[in-house]
Amino acid sequence: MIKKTAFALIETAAVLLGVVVAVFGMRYLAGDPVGLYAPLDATPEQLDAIRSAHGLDRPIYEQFFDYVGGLLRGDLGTSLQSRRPALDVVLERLPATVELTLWAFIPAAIIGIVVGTFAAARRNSLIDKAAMGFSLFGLSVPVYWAGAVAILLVAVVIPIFPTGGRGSPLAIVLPAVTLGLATAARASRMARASVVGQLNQRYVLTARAKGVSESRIVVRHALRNSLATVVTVLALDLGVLLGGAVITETIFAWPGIGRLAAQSIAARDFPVVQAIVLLVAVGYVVIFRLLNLTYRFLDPRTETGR
Amino acid sequence: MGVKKSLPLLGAFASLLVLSGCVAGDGGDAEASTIVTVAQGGEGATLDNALIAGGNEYSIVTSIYDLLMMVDRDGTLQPALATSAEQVSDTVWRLELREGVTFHDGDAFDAEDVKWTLDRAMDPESGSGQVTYITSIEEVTVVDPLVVEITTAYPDPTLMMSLQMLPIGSRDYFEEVGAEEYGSNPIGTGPFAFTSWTPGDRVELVAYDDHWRGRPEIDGVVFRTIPDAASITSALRAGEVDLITNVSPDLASTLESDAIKILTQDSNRSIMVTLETETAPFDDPRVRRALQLATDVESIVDNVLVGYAKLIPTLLAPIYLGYDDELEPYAYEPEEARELLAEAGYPEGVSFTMYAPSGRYLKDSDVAQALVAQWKEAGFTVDLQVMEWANFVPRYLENSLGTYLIGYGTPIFDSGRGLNAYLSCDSAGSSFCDPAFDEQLAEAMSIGDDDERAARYRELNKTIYDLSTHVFMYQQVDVYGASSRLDWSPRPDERVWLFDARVE
Repeated sequence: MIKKTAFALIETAAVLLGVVVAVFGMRYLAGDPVGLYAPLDATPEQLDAIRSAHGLDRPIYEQFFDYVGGLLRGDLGTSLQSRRPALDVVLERLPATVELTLWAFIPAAIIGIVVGTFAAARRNSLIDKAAMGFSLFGLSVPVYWAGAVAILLVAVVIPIFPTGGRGSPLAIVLPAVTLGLATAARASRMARASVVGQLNQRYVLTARAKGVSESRIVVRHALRNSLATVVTVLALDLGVLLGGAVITETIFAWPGIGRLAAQSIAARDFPVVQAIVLLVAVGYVVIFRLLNLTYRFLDPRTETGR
Repeated sequence: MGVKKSLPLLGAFASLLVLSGCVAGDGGDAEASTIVTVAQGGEGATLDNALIAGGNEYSIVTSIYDLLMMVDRDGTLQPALATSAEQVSDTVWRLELREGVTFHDGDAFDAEDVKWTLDRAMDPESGSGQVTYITSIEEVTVVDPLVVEITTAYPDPTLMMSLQMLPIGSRDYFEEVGAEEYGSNPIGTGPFAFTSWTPGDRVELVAYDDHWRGRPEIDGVVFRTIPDAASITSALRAGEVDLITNVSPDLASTLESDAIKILTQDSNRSIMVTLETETAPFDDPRVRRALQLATDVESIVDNVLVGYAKLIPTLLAPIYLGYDDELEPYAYEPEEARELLAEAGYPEGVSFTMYAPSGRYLKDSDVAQALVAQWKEAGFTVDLQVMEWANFVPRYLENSLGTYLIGYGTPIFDSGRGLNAYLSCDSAGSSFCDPAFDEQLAEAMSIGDDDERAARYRELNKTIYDLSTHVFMYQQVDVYGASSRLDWSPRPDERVWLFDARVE
């Protein structure tokens, strides 16, 4: 166990180091940001002064080692725009992204799995066809179109929900539905395909022969054995969603880290961009560690062989 | 630490309670309240008066803080925190400050706050870009609690205009709470006091009862960030917001209704094409003139900008002191352009590279593409390079762009600064160099008398008009969408300052 944990920690550190190096490479390629923080008619001396106040005048490798040193002390640098700690700038936007992710992800995952399983059990029925038609729609509709139509219909023409922002309890609904659409669609297709696959297995035939009820076969046997696949796909989705949904957050003026990332890249606010990338990388690592744990629970066979 | 971290959450919760009524409802509650909600596309990263740079941030911050002097809707400078500013010598300004002004925390405003604000902007360690507006300042001295003297290294008659870029903050508050809290929980003397900030979402302000101008007519302002152009108009249509800025010209006509009015304001921003005048082919004034004559600015204004722009004869918009209304914008003469080009030795036409930013100015890359098409007719073949603004700026500052589309706009309504930026030999933004011109400009910029200075600027404007130093084009028109209940008119400084707004 200790060996395993140590290995996991080393692996995580290696991933994060890779991320830091990659982001620093981007910083090097993106060029000098100082002109964005002063009027265009600033004199070269004034620009130099601002550059040096931000530590941007030092060689890139020095900035890199400084950054890594700070990182080890939990210091992710200072935002070039606001001169506040980059980590604080990101953390104050994180709750919005987590909230949106959970409201989009959990209902979408549940609905997707339920609908997919139901469709598999009633293969080729009208319900199956409707469900799969809908999921195809959910996968093919671009978020910016779905979002714009949703705003027009139920925020402007029939004003039930606010058009955006994070100011009222109802504000979460439209962005969550828009964002969850693709996840629900993907989950339902995955669930249907795996459950159908399981239902064709011989053990199902045996169970039927023994007189086990059809609903028990679908839920306890076929679905249970399908979950590992479905959960893997969903975990990938969850990782992507936690990284911030730039388009959804932009359309619905939702103050999450996706928009913060886009805005910080446009402003070349590297410390903030780096903090976001690192945080998202950590999020991914955590999700996949948890995923590995759930495998043991979902499919005990993954434990054997060691 | 824990309390500090939870502040944004608390703010969000409070705003949720306050706003759930007027946001989620059908607008019935919004009618009763006189809180005006403004939506802007851009996002502010800070509310620190020394660190703000963008126009969106200036609108919010000049609601919270006051300026020493501020332009009115005609562009004329009016007293604010400074009741008078007098040039006691060529290089010394004496400012009398308003008595009885208090910050939102009850502290009295005095000369120390002015000195501290200016000194902080000039301190490289602060990271403030505002130093570029007060390059001339050598020293700020407190004479008595209500008198400040500013000594400049050279005569700077437009210093009071420039100081509009520096909202005045509280020294005591900064020293008490430190830089971080200062920028996220700001305190000023302005007409609206800060109540909460949800980064990326909204800043909420409430009318300041003890403001020296009197209490604002409205109860408060909410500045929301809505980055998507379609969503921001939806929010206005749904009645969630009262005022939106930078309405895209193509959306303006579809937006107008009984509930929504379109407000326009001649912008201080103008658009031009800078020409690389030091090398062939644009070292020849005939080629430059030919390019100008090959430019159908009127067609661009009508077709690309849907009429929301006005032709101007040279670089700067009419609101700048020194604008020459006797000059006529060059007409579109493609035939004459071809002839001039042949006369200059290019009967086969010329080709060159032009750079243009994307998303910085109203329809900038569309305008650039329209130019390329027009110029082709007259024999100019252009390799157009469109770039994101953040990639454009470093090249601009290296002066490596040569020929490019660019804009100029600032609330410092004096031609000197703009002419200097785009024409003087050592400016990064200039592709033109004539030491005699620089000398005349420097001399003009030091003249204290406004009329005399304007006359000198007009001469210089005539010079660049005759030399066709740039392709002169148009000034933008700022377009706002407002709910019909809001009584407010836009300002030439592009700032959404709602002290005098009313709600019907």
